[in-house]
Amino acid sequence: MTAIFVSTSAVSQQNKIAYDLMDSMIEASNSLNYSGLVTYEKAGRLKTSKMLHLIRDDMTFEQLTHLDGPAGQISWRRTDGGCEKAAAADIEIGSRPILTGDSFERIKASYSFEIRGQSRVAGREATTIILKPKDKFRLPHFVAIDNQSNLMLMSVILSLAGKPLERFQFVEIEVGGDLDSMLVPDAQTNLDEHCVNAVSQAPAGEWNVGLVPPGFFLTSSKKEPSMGQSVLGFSDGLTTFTVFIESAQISSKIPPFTYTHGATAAVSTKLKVQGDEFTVSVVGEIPIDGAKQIAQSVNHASKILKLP
Amino acid sequence: MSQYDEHLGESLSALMDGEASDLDTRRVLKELASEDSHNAMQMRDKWRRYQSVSSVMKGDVASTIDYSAAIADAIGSEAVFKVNPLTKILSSSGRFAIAASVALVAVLGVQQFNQSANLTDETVEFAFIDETSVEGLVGPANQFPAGWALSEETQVRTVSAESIEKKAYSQQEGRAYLAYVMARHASNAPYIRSQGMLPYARLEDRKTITDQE
Repeated sequence: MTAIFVSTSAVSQQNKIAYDLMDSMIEASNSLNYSGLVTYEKAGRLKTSKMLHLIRDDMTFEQLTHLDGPAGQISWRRTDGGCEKAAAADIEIGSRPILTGDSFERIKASYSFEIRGQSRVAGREATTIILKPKDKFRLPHFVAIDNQSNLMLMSVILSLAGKPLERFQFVEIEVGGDLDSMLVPDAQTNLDEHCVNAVSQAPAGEWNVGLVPPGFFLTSSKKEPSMGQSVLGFSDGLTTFTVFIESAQISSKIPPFTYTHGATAAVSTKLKVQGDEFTVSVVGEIPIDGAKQIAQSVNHASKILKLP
Repeated sequence: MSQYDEHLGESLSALMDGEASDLDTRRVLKELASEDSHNAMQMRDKWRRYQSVSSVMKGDVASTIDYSAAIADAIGSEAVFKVNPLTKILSSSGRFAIAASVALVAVLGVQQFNQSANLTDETVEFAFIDETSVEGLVGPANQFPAGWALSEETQVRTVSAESIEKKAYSQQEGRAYLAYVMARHASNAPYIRSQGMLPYARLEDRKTITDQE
């Protein structure tokens, strides 16, 4: 009995350490300036990029420069809280409230944490943690957190069977130093603007996603009238999936399909509403079976209204 | 017959018997490489004769038809696979190709520079050698990207009591649509704070999609 008690206590203590470490990681990525070389590996191939991450007051700037394949660069800036505030104020779908606040609370509710040990990544000592999903709608994550800066040095998404599906990893990282005073380059994209646009185009509950797994919340909602398309984005703070509903006209040519590539699953199904056939697709870093269930749960608001 | 021809004949014979030395093999291959030479043609004839004799002696049925030229022709006339599969997918359907570019460029402002016109992204082609869903593949394998499977349940879920009609689905449109939803999903993901640049890293097919502009 004592042994069980000690063991349980050790587990909860370990959970707490893991929670604290993840919390520190999120805090570090929101407060530290860093730059480094990263690799992204999926389905047997590897890409390398140079990353620059700068924080100035409440503004975050990030830049990714591709080092192999075609030359290119992605950069964006975002003001702290801009998107979340806008989303909280305006988006609504069906009766589902839009949850905001600390995404880490959401992650804690959906995954259990376990410290796996010490490792070395990008020449730095790191603690590895495995995030195990509490249901079948998420995939396990394996992360390495720098002991010195608390930054995430590696993130691996695993299949439910424990097989690595994709890996994002630093091979070299520099924290602080000259980066703390360097001039912030111009960004190609201001995410706050896009966030506001997304909110103003929110559909008035025309489509309803019947099965939104616990912990997931609506992050974006767009309607493209020219294509007759609705796009709904969901996240639990770590994992995302997107639901697409296509017009009857476009749907007539698209076959139903399933597709997996690395950690990303895509499922496309057909839904008939009053004689018209629509295409419902779900794409996300989630198990394929979960994606199928979500796709099949989508219904037109007209059907829901008829229910007693 | 020159001494060289004699050596060549012996080398070919040794190769047939599985007793060829490195020198024998090199000699035969070098001669065969100059495919229009008199020696090469003679060697091919000789090889066929040796094979026929060997087959007959072993009791196998020997084919007298020379497939080698036909096979060489067939290989020669095949289009060289240089085009990125995703480019083909996207160019096959203008609507989603444009939509995919717009989704990426508008949301992410992907910037391309110093772009060499003939630079192909072989890493993306490699991406299509995927490990998943092969057993679930339906239809001719060469018409689908790996990992792609048409749903077995091609029936439509009905909300009203309409009869289910057979639809003329287009595989090309389907593949273009798949590329579009994958890109659009990846460009939606960056709103998640804890993920940082991860979703951008996921946008591996960025060049292929943006070069449709």
